[in-house]
Amino acid sequence: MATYKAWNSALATFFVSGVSKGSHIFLSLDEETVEEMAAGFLDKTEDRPCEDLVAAVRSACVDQSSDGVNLDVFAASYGKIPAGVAFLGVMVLAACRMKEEEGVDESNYFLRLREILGLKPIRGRPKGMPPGAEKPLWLAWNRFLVALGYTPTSEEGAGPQTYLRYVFSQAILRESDKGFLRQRYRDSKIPRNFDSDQLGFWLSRQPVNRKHLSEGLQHPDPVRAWEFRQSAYRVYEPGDWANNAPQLPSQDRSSARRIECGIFRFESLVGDVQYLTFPKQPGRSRHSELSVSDETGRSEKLREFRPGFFRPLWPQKPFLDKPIELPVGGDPLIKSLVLPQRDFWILTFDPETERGAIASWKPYLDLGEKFMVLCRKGPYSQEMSRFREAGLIDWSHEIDCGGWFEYIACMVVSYGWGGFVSNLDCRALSDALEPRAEAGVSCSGGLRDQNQNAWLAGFPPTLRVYGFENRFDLTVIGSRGAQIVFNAQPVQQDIVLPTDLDHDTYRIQVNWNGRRVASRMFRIVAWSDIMEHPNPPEVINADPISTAGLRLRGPIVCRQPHSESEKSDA
Amino acid sequence: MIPEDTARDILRGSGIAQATNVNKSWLVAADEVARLLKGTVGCENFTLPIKYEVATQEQSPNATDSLSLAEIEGLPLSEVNATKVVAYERLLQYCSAVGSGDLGTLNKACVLLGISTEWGGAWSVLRRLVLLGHLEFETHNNNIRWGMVEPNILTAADGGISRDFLVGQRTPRLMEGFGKLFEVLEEHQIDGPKRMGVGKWVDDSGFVTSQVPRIGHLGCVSELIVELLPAVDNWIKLLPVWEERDFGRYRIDCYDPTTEQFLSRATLLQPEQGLYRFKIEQGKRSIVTYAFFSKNDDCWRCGDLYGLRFVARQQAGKCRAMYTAESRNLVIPPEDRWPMPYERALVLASGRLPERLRGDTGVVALRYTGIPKKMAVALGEALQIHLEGE
Repeated sequence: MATYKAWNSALATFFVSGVSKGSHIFLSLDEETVEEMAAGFLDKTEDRPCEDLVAAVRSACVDQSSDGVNLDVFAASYGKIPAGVAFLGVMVLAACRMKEEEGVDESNYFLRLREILGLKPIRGRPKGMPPGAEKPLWLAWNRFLVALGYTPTSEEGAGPQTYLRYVFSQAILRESDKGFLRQRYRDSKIPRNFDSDQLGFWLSRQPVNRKHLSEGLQHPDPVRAWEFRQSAYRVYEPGDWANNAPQLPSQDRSSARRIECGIFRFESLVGDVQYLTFPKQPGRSRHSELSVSDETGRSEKLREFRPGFFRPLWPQKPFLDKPIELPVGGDPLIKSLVLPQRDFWILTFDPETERGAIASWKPYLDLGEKFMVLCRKGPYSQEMSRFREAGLIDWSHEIDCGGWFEYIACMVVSYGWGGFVSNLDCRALSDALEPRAEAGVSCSGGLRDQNQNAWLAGFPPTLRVYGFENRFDLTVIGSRGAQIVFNAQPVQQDIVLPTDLDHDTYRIQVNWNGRRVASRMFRIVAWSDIMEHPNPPEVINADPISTAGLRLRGPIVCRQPHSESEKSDA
Repeated sequence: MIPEDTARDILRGSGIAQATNVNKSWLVAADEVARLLKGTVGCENFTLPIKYEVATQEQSPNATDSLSLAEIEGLPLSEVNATKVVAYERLLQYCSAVGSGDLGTLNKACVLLGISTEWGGAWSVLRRLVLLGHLEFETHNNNIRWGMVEPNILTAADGGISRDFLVGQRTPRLMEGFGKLFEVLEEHQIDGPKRMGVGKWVDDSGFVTSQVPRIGHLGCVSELIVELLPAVDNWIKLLPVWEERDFGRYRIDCYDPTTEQFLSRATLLQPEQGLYRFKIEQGKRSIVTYAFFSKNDDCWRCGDLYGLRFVARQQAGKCRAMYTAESRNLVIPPEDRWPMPYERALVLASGRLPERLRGDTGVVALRYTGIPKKMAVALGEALQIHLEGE
C-alpha cells in the first residue's frame, strides 16, 4: 500500500501533467480518476486504489478515539508540494459520491466525508475540523498551482457555504452523473469518434434533467463549463458505454485513451500557408515514447512541443470527409490518434507569445480576443455572413481557400446572440462563438516569462477591459494585500499598472454595478527567478552576408546541412 | 407545443432572423425567453456592442533595410554605467527566457529596458549579441528571426590569457549553477551584456549532478572560423546578385572612399566599380539598399553597409588596420570595420565587443583585444589588407 506522502505527490503531479501553462486546474477527484492516477503516477501498483488512498488519508489524520481529524499534520509540505493535497482530494471525492437528490449543504456533505474517513455517521463537521480549518490547505494548493504557472479554481464562497464552496467548486461529475452520461451515450448511439468540442456541443443540446450536471454544462463561466465537458469526454473516451453489458466496476472498465488533434497554421517565411496536424497531449498522464502511424504506415514520434501539445505533424487539410483514427504505440492506455471530421475551426494566437502561431490552442474564447474562423463553404459560410449582418461578429477580411473560407482577425462584438435565430445545422458554430461572459480583461505587453506564465518585476502587463457596457470598475488585488482601484474605467482602453508592483500573485476583479462580472489572475516574478527556455528553436544562419556561407548557430559551426548541428572541435 | 427545431425552421423560412416579440413565447422554448430579453425586445439592444479593433500590425523593417540601418556609430556613445549594465543583462536574460523571436520582439524589449527606441537600435543590439555568440539569426524574404544558443564555454584565442568565457542562454539561476562548477569572473562592457569569464574550476568530488546546469565546451571557435573563412574576393562572389534594372525610380548615392561620404548621383548609365546606396519611398517608409557594382562580373552585389563599404575601401586601397603583438590588440578605423563574418572571429577570439577609442572628432578607432598574431595575420591576408605596426 502506498504511503500518504506517495499519494499526495501522485495527486499533485497528476493534475498538472500534460497541461499547458495558464490552464485552470480543478482538483476533481473521483473514483476513476484515482485509478487512473494510481496506474500512472504511483510506483507501486494498487489493487484497490480508491480504498488504499482513503486508508492512507485515514492513517495520516484520523483519530478514531476522538472521532475526529487532525489537520495540523498537513501544515507543512513535502518539498514544494503542500502536504494536504491528498486530504483535499478525499474531500472532493466525498462530494463526488453525493447522490443527485442530495442537496449541497454542510449536513449532507459531511455525512459523506465522515463515511469516507470512517468516522461516526452523524451530521456535522468532524472534531478537529471547525469551519475554516481546511482553508489553509486550499490556499496552499492554490499557491502551489500559481507557482507552477497554472490558474487555481478553488475559491471561498459566502454565507453558509463559505468554506464548502472550496470543495464544491472542484467537484465536477458525480458518480451518478457518469452513469447517466453512459446511458445517454448508449441510447443515443452517438458516433465513437467525436472530439471533445463536438461532444460538448452535442451535450449542450441534450435534455439533462440532472440539476448539478445541467448547471455545470451550461455554466456561464466558460472555464467551469469546459471542465464539465472535459469530464464528460473522459466518460465518453474509452467507448465502453457502447456495449449493453451491465456496468462494470470502475476498476474493470476500459481506460483506453486517445489523442485528439487540432490544426496548426504554418505560414512560411515566403508567405505560403499550410495546415498541420496538431496533436494534443492527453492531460493527466505520464508519457513514454509515443509514436503514431499515418495512413501509409509510416511511423512518426510524438514529441512534446510544450505541456499540453505535441509538435505539429504532417500537413493536413482542415476539413475531412470522415474522421481518421490512427494507431498509437508506446503506451498501454493511449490507443489511437483521431483526426476529426469538422465543419469549422476556431483558431487563436499562441497564448504564450503575443505574435505567435495561430492554431487550435484553446477550447473557448476570451472576450475581446482576436481569432480566426475556418469553415466549409455552404451553410457555415452563409451563417458567418448572417452573423456579421446581425452585428454579432466582425472580421478584417476573408480568404477563399477552395473548399473553405478563412475569416481573418475575427472579433465577437455583441452580446445579443440569444435573439439570433441560427441555422439548425450551424448551431455548433453559434454556440462556440456566443460569448458567455459579460466582460473580460486582457493582459498584454510588459516583459513576460512565458515559462512561468508570469511577468517580470518592473514590467507588468497592460490591462484592457472588454465588455458590453461603457465603463467598468477594476480592482487589482495582490495576495499580500496590495490593492489598486480603477473606477469607471472605459472599455477597450489601455490601463497602465505601476511599475513598482512587488513580485506577487494578483487578481483583477472587474465589477459592474457592484457585481463581479469578470476576473483574471496574473503573476509578477523577480528577475532573479526568471527561467530560461528549456529548448530554444535552433536557428542556423548560412547567409553569405553575415557568415560567408558558413553554417553558424552563434559560435557553433554546423558542418552538415541536412543533419543535426554539431559542435566545433575543440 | 411546437418542437424547438421546427419553430426555428419556421422562423427562418419566414425570413425572421431575430425574434423581436417576446409575447410569442410559444415560438421559442421557455428558457430562451430570458436570452431573447437579453437580445432584442422592443429596443435595439440592452447591451452595448464591443468596438471592433482593427489590427495595428507593427511594420518591422525589411531584413535588407535592417542590414543597412545606422549601426553602432549612430548610437550615442556610452560609458559603462550601472543602469546600462543591468539593462543589457536583463535583455540577455529575457531573450534566454523567450528562446526565439523576431526583430519586433527584440525591439519591444529594448524599448522597455531603455536600451534603444529605434528599429536601427534593435538591429544593432541583435548584431552585437550575434557577434558575442549568444544567439543567431536568419533572414528569409525580408523577415528576421533569432534564436538563443544553449550555454557553452569558449576558449579564448590568446592561449587562455583572456580566460575562457560563457556564451548563450543566461539567467541568475543558471549563473548560480555555473558558480558551483567554476569561479565566474564578471567583466562589464559597453553596449553589451557582461562578459562572464570562467575562472578556477571547483573540485568536483561533491557534485550533485542534478543541481548543476548542463554546459557545453566548444573550444576555440574563432580559430576554426578563421580557417574556414574565404578570401575576400571569394566572399564577394558569394554575395547575392541584385537583379534590379530600373534604377530610375531610386535616389542614388555613390560612396567616395576618399571623403567617406555618399555623393548624389543623378544617373547610373555606366556605373563605376564601387558602393552605391539606393533609396526609394514606399508609402511612409524609405527602403534603402546597398549594392556594390563589380566590373569584373558586371553585376550588382547586395550586402550590408559595413561589408560593402569595406570592399569599396579595400579595393580603393583605403583600408587600414594596426596590430600590436605585445598587447594582442587589433585597431581599425570605424569606417574600415570588417565584414560581419570576419568580425565574428575577432569578437569570439576574446568574447569582447570592440572598444571604441575616442578622439576630438568622436570615435577614431575600434580596438579588438586578445587577438593572437597568427589570427591577425591570417585575417589580414584573407581580407587583403596590410597590418600596420609590429
